Amino acid sequence: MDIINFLTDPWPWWFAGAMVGLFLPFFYYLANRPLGVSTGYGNFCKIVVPHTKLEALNTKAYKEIFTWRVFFIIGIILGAAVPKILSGDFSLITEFAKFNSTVTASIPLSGLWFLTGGILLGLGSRIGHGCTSAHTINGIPNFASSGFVASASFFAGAILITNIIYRLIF
Amino acid sequence: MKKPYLYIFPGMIFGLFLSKAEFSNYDLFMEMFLFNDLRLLWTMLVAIGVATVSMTLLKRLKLTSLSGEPVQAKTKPLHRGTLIGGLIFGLGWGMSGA
Repeated sequence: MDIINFLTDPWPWWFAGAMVGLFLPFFYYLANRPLGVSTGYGNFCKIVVPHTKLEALNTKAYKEIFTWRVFFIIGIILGAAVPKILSGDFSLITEFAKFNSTVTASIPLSGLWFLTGGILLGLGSRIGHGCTSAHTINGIPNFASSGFVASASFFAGAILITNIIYRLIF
Repeated sequence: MKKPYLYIFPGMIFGLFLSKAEFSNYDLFMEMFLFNDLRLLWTMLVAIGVATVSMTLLKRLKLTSLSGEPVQAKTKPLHRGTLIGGLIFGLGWGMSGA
């Protein structure tokens, strides 16, 4: 496997899983802080409304706007997109095979569906104090009860809505 | 690592790993939640297993971080919002598949 294929094609599941797993101690070594992504969404909110009086956006994590989380999130997007762009394989897609072949919704309607999904991801991760990074990748390997409860409820919610859509309605 | 802008680099590595693991693949998430194809579940379990073993080693061997401090694992407290927020997050996860 040459370097180009390595960067453009998906990796074998066991290798990719091991790499994601090893990222946790690697990140503790570099930063000595817990891995987390969704708290950073609040920093992006503050870029838009820097002088908000909202209590939730004035906690310790948001004292400064451009914290490490902002750059970490920008990095995540770049790390996923750059190999695709370099290989000329990058394109903005307006449909997902399974969603569009089953649900056959128009682009505005499917856009509304994915937008709602994104809003629920943001809302839920703030109410639950974390997303899959903080709860599943950092929580469970550090034996946090919150990690187990959150991960189980992530799956419960996702399995519920997916089966309603693909098994009951369509 | 103190300078915030430096975090763009570990972010890029994390983003690369996540996308190579297909954690950005809508169709594969749907197949997992519908129990048709569990590839992503196995990937996640390998990730959790490797992270558990390596974090335990890191703590047992009392290794220090880049800045010379002992590594301190931190987690989120469990509260009522963990379950409720988790369920809402899960609905969004199932809708967006990301």
